[in-house]
Amino acid sequence: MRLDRLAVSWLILLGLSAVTLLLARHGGDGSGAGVGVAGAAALLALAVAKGREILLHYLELDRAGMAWRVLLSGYLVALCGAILLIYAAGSLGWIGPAGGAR
Amino acid sequence: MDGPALDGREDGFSGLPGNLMMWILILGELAVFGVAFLGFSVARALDPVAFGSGQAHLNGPLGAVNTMVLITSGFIAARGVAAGRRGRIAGARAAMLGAAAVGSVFLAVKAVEYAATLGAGLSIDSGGFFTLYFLLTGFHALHVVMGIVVLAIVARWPSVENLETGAAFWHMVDLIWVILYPLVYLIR
Repeated sequence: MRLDRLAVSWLILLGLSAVTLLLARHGGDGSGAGVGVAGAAALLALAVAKGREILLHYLELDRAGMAWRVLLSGYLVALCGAILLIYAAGSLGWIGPAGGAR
Repeated sequence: MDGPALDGREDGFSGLPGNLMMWILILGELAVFGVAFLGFSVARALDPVAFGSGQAHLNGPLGAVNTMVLITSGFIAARGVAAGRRGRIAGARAAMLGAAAVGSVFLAVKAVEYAATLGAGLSIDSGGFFTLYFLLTGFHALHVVMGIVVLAIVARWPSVENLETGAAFWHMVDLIWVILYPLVYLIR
């Protein structure tokens, strides 16, 4: 089978999902890689990487106008960035119960 | 990857695959899910203990399996679009039905997950985490159901525009899941 860009995307997505699965398994005991601001950042970075493959190659934004790429990639990065910021704010005790719980 | 097929699809807000109405729907869906995800994040920050203990009941690895199911289904749908563009209508039809079949595996896994959660006595009334968990995953699963219907419809009427439009909706459902999964299941 000829390995075109779409198949490469599929393999990249499977690989990124496997890495996510490893983080999920190690996070199972409550002390693993999914915990803390760094763990959240790693998981969200994986989500952005997956989302970019989907946007550029499944949704074919690599062939669309630059404005669409900027708009939708920007949405992905801004949303995951905001999720991380809110998580960090909770962890550091800026919002939520005093002192945080982590 | 680039080639003559890409002519005229390069500038500004041009060159999206499929019907523009579908893209207006996609942008609306992304906005709604985005706001819901931010709401979930704020709710967690306000009550991290309850969210942590609620999340401990979820099956993280099963969610990763479902990620692989959706991206594989999306890959098959994208192959179907490519087949349709080359005039291989039978291949396009088969790919769209195959993508729908693989997509239904997502729903089966989700049913196993819900059965386990509900079987443990945890329902949409079991506090803030479970209310948001059932609302977010249920709303997403509803989109998977709609996506399977859309894939079946474009398999029945496989013009290139229909194939592109149906696949675009399906990839949007995929995109939402890759953010929802770590947010709800993994980050703690």
